[in-house]
Amino acid sequence: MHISEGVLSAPVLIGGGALTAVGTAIGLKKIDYDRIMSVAILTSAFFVASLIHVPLGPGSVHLVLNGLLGVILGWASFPAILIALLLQAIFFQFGGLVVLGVNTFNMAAPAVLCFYLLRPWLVQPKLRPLAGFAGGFLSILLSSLLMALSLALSDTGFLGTARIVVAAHLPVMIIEGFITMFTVSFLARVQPDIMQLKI
Amino acid sequence: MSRPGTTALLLTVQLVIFCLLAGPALAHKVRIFAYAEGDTIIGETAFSGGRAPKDSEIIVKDAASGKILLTTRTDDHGEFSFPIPTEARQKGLDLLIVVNVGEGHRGQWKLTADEYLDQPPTPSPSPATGPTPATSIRVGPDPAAALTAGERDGTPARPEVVAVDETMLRRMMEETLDRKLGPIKRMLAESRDQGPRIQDILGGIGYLIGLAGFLAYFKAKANKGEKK
Repeated sequence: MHISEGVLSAPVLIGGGALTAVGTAIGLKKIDYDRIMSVAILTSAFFVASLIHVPLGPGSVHLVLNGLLGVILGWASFPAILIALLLQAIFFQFGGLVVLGVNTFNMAAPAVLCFYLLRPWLVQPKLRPLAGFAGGFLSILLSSLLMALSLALSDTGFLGTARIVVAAHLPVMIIEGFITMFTVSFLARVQPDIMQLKI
Repeated sequence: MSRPGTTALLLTVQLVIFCLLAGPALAHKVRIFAYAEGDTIIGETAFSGGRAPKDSEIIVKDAASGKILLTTRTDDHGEFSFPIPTEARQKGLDLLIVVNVGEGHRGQWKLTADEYLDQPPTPSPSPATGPTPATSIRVGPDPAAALTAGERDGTPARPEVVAVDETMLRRMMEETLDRKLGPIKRMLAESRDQGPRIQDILGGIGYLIGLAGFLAYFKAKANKGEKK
């Protein structure tokens, strides 16, 4: 899910950086005092999740958890993912500093979209597991498509790249779907406050 | 107020589970390194953690101009080799070896000219290769050669010793050194690039909690200001 340095062209890098800056500004505005700790904890979860790998095909894929961040944090996913990716780039050399903007946008934009799409379902206890699964699944699918798009805008055709990237992430979509489903259901039962279900 | 306490505990447990699962984590990035052996350049690629990117594209560029000199592919073990491009040898170009695994994953390794240029070409059946002619080993007393060899390394040359031409000797030593140092070079490259360590992971989480505290401090200050 992390695009390495030196793959993307300058317009894509600048575009991604600008979109991320806007998203982060909105996200920071939306974090109020009571939410700071949940944002930090979910950021940590995202930061660590990328270290869990699923060996697959010619390479390996890893958990992302952007869907989980999305349905719980909404716009705050942008600053959360930006900081987590920054730390991953510095500590693990995942991705890189120049591609930080694009990588953040690719993972945070689907998270925010999932927030708006799935929030109505999430509030209803019956639909909550479904919303959780859809959140995990959709966010990875959309992130893969965005990633393919960024690669395609830089060189090769979109469809071929998209097919490879989406196929590679299909197992992750399913795994993340289940992880998000269980986490969301669990948090709703144990810590409804963190989910902000009553607003 | 027990809420933040329990939440923190719950998620800490989750994080610990993640950390344990991460165990021997495979970093999702590509490592590449290369070294010269004779007139071939040998290299290895791996996702750090061990898995090899099979049949991935290797692009060899001139580091200064970015001109592509040749392309090749990795084998099933993620290894590759190619002869030193003649253009690179003649001009003394620094090589930038790039592995492109696709899906946006890419790694690179810089091999400077002096790392491969001082290697004379390995002897081949055709005598026309390279500037240093491969001289044969002269057996038996050869006072002139023995003297030069003796002067070089400071040991008294004895005529009955097998006298070896200086360039030949140098080449043989370099070949042996290459062979012996290959694994060490590999070890160095691997240790330089280990996967995420637990310190890094915990450090990162520490940073995040610290940032949250920082933010909380300023937000709390702002709240106070509003109330006044």
